[in-house]
Amino acid sequence: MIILHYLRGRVKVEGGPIYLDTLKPSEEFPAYMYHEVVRHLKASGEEYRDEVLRDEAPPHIATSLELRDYQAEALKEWKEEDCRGIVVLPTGAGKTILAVKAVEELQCSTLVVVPTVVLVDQWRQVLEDSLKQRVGAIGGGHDEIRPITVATYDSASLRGSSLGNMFRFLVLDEVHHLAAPTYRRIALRYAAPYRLGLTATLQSDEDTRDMYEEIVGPVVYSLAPEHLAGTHLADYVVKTVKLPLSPQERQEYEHQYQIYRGFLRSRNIRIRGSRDYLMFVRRSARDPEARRALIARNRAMDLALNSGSKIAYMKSLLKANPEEKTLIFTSHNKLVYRLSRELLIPAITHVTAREEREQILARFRDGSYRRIVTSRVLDEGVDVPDASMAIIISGSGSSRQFIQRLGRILRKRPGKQAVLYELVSADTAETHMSARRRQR
Amino acid sequence: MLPTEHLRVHRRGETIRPIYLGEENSMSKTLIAVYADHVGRRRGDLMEALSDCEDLGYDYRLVRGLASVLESRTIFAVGASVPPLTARSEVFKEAGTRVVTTEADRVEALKVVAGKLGVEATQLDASLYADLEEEQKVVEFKAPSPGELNRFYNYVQTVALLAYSRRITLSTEKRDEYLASLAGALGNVEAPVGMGPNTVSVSMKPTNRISMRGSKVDELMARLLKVGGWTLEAVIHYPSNNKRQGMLTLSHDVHGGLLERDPAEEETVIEIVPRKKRSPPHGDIIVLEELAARRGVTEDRLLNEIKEEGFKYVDLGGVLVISEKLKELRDALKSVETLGEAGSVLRSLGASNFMPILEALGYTVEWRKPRDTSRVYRP
Repeated sequence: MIILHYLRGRVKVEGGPIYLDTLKPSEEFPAYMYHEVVRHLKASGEEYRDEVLRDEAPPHIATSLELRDYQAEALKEWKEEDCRGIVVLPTGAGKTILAVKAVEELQCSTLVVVPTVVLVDQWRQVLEDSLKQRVGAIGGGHDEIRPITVATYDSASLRGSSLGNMFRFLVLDEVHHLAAPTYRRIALRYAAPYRLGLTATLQSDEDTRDMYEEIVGPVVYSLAPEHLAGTHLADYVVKTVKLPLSPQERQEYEHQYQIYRGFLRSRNIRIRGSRDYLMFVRRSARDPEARRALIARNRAMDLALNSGSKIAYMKSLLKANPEEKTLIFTSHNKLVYRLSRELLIPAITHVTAREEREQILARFRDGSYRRIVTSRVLDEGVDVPDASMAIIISGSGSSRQFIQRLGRILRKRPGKQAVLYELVSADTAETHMSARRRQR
Repeated sequence: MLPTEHLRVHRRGETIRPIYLGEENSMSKTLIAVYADHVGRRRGDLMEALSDCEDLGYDYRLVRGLASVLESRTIFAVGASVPPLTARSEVFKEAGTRVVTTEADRVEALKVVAGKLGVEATQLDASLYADLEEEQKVVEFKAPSPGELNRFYNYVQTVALLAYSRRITLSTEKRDEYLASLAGALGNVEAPVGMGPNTVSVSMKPTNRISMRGSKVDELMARLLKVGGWTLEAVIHYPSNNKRQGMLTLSHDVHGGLLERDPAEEETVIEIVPRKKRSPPHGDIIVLEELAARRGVTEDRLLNEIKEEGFKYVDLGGVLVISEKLKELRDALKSVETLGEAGSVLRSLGASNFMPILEALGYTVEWRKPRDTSRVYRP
């Protein structure tokens, strides 16, 4: 008889090799293939004993949650894929509720993996409120394992060997983090046969999609913000405002950008994508000319991203909309603190202590603060209270970042019309970045 | 340790060596002047000035490497009249009720809060983000001479490169036991065949914590420079992804004058020998029945012996536990639900036979198969 065991991220087969469809016969498989091994054994009719999962089922779960039509459809699609797959929904569309309902459907041990410690607390709160039972937590000082547990990606990855067979259902919040090899180990080393990935944006390249399909499941449901605007999400408009550089800024921009372009031309280098750019950055470590070109490019981009006309326009927006709860996004911490100091707006960056960040968000929630200026830390992973206006002074060319920032203002409120202002320096390299981030 | 990305090396054939600075180097003079000029000013200003120095045509790794040596001779401090967190909390609360877009709006809001906190508006303004790194003030700088700076820089370069060694062989005029023990901390020490008794060769233990190894190499090098009459040979694998290894050869005669460890890096260590705490001879936890059987005495006699030893145990009924240990056990058991968890928790706290302790603490067990999954209920 065949006996299946779990050992440090792998499923061991005792009693002879297994012939899975496309693979060589083997007595050992990565844990994520556990469901396939079981399916194969069931189909072949071979007698086997399954000792892989050592989990404890939670007490019976009965929630009073009602799903919206699109959430119900997403859940149905996911169940049809043997409870494996990824759901892509905009921020504020109720991904958490969907996951809670999936836990209720399965009534089994569940590990929810989230990117940040703040999210551990948020998920735990929602799960405890909905499931009416204690929920465990791992990470950020918590170490409590229960049939339903929330863990950070870091903790889930570090403790993969010991936790890998303790849960039947794996919920991966912000599943796009699996693109990082360390985090991918979670999906690879956990045996959970049921998997649900949640995200607002998924990488679009084919290789990455294939990887997700293999280790989490296919994209079973996907909805863009515009499909829910006005119904389940707030109505919104995105206004891209192209602003000219001042004559001095323009002159300096052209001068610096010319140094960069001149270098690329002289060495016959073409930057066609992030890989080429990375090669150029590496080259700058050993080639002084490349370094000069890199510095010149950074200066030019600094001018374009943080131009004086953007700041002036942002001030006019704040003055014209004094009552709107506003989030101001930039790429540079230096600008965050400059704006915070000049306009006396609370700032949140990666160096802001947790207590201070929580105080700022709480005051934003209760209306004592109406504006927050931030860099990238609020893009995801922090439950930002409802805002109705966002101003992107600068950002990357990533469409994921753009959608996540947009999602910050989409929570529905009666009569709410959310506005996202994207400020772009006209006739600079930033216009290409803006076009790229809005491609989906 | 010098950050690896600032390391400057010269490679030729099979040899590799750090690029050393001689006595004359205008960059060293410039950087010393930059640091000295910034005493009393913001750290952010100093950073900008250093960044400007990179534009003078020097290798940025040289500028940053020299700056990292000077940084250890600089003291920074946060200067704030009001704790920055309080300043921010109060100012933003005040500004939250209005829209600040002009300098006049800003000053007005600052004045209101400053009045409440009993400070000047300018002091409040300066305190707002005084805790940010770039807002720290340079309060003291111990300037080295340019020659000293060059030698200190050469030394940190050498240490950084040696941190990537596979093997280091050291020869000294006289046998130095302390040097041998420092080498031992880096890996397996061997006395190479055919070499004298004053030669030590160490095969480095593999590590992915290069900076930790770097500080051990630092200790080794500092000692080597003191011993005198030395030679050093090292097989270097730098950078780690490079397929080729390189040989570094240094000697007291040729390189001794180029290398010096910055005395500012040498910490004053005052060794305080703690008074050894007397520990109970039978341990923090005693299961009376078990210990009495082991020693072949009655439980009463054992109890009397324990009392005479003068340690205060809490008697849980057959199990004696030192009071601090008892608290530790109770805390550790709070989150436990199964017998398996209880066993591992108690064993990790030094209780090899954990069942009597669990029972003595009032826990009840609902037995299940396998045994480790049995439920444990708190008293």
